Amino acid sequence: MSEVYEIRDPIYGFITFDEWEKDIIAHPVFQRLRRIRQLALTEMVYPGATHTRLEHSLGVMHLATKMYDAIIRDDENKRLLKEKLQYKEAGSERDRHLVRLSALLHDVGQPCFSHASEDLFENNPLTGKAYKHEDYTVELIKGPLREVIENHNLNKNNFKITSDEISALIQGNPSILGKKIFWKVIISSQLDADRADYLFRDSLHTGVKYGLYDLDRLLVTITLGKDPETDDIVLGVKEGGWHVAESLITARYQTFSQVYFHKTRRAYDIMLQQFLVEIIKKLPPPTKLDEFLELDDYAVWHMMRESNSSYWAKSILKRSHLRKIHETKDVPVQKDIENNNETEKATKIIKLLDSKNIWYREDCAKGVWYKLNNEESDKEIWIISKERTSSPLSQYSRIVKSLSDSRQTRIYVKPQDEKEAKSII
Amino acid sequence: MPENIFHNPTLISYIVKSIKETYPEKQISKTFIQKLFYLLSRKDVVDFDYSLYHYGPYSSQVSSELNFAEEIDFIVIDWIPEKGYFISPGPMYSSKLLLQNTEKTERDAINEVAQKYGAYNAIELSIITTALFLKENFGVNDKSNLVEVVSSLKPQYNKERISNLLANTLQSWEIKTMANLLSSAHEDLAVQYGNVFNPDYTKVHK
Repeated sequence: MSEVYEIRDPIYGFITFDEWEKDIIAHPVFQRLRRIRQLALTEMVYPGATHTRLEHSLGVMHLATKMYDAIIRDDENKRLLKEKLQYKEAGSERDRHLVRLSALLHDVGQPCFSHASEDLFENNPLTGKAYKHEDYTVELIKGPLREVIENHNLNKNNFKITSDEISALIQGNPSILGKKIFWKVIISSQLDADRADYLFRDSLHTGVKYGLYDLDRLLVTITLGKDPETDDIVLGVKEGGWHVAESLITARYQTFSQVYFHKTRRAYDIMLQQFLVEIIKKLPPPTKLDEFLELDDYAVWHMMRESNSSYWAKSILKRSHLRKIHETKDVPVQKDIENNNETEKATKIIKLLDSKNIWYREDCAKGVWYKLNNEESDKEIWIISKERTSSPLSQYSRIVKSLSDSRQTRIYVKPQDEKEAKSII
Repeated sequence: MPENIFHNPTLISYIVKSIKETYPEKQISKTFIQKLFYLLSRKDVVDFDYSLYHYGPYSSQVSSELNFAEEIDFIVIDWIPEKGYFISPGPMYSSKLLLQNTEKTERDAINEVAQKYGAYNAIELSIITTALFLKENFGVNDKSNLVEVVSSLKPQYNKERISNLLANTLQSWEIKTMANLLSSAHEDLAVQYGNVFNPDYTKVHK
């Protein structure tokens, strides 16, 4: 019998783990997450937002387990899993560990300052597109973490879970995991443990209350159904729980506008990117993991303090941030669409700034929304009837039906140019 | 220059309109659009990130564009219980907006994809795009292996049917693979000798 360890968490009270997971948590690759802030320089706006990816990762493991247990507890869910995925009850404890470890490790490849530095990823020569943090996660799980994952006695004597399987669940690779990639929906979907944790945690630490929702209700209403069009098995909530699904979606939209796309917070993201481009140009690729691992938030703060000549470093250190001089509407109206008014106006401003040699940056909400929801961002959550037929949340909630992703674009200039920029536009 | 936020919604409404013209009774669902845009992203018409799930490749970015296209009335999304989503062109869609927000090459690519894949249903497109994703992202090249993996995710389709579906798309895979090799070779040279090539080269030939 493995010993059970516990750790205090500001949201869940206690998070428990076994000695195998304890060793993984203690590994330097995982401990690095202590030095990666969850929300980059958001603390410049909300001083309490100093929480880290380590805290979040433990929370996701805890919540993913609760979700898995809630699904498996229900006989009808088990019947669906048997019918569609040939689920075997005998393997459920192994699957549970696979889900827990994938949740625990899903963020180990986060770069310094999380999403704020993702624009600095190099291009992957195999895809022609920029690397994603999941690429680093997979390389770390298959590389430096392999030993502690595969060779722990608890694993060798019971589950024989491999690093490749954990990577495959995070990536969604059925060539290794087969039908079991279904469980990816708990790690990454519109109803996943990742989002369910970060909304709560970011709310708690920023002090912005919009991210709160009824987590207990969510856990007793989470269930499985069938997509009426494709007959695929889907994760959703029971009809009686549609209000909690609605509050989860509205929490996400409100937190986006109040925290993630806050105008000053975004100014610091841009300044941080400028400094990183100046000092390192690009993040080390997954083929240079040692260099990547060295580059945590602390290392970048140290570089900032040492960079006497950097405008960006000095500005961040003395909290002198970019100024927003223009913003477009959240969602354009008919007249704007027909005449392309908003784009025309922004183009004109940019030309004027160019003509005066004033430095500026555009920042579009779309990019932030994309980055934040790099796996699933649908405002729809499946609402599942007793007969297991599924309908989208917007059929129940007028609020959700009317929600739209922001397409606002802002233009920022340096503080010393604000007056001149405003006078010419 | 500021990004044209109407570009992607216009592409979505145009592909819906193109398929509706050829197949008026067709169920054009969110899943169907997701998979068509996966195929379009392979033609470099759009650049969306996709992840693989048990139900096939999915992009949160396409999902966001669908929401936005609906909000600005470029498309109308209806829900019919026990059948699913039905998407049709919206009241804001017009030829003027099409010309204003898209290039001819993009419209041509959409016409080609609509013609080639418009007859399939969402499950069939899911099978095709899952196989493509496996091949291009996880290196599953062997056809029988592809059929095995895809059929494990789609037990409602027998292996023969999956095999036939995939056989029809094999030729275009090979063309894409060759283009990828050319593109990779170009990037390797650029790394070695500096980017002396026209930067648009990769985009055109990938």
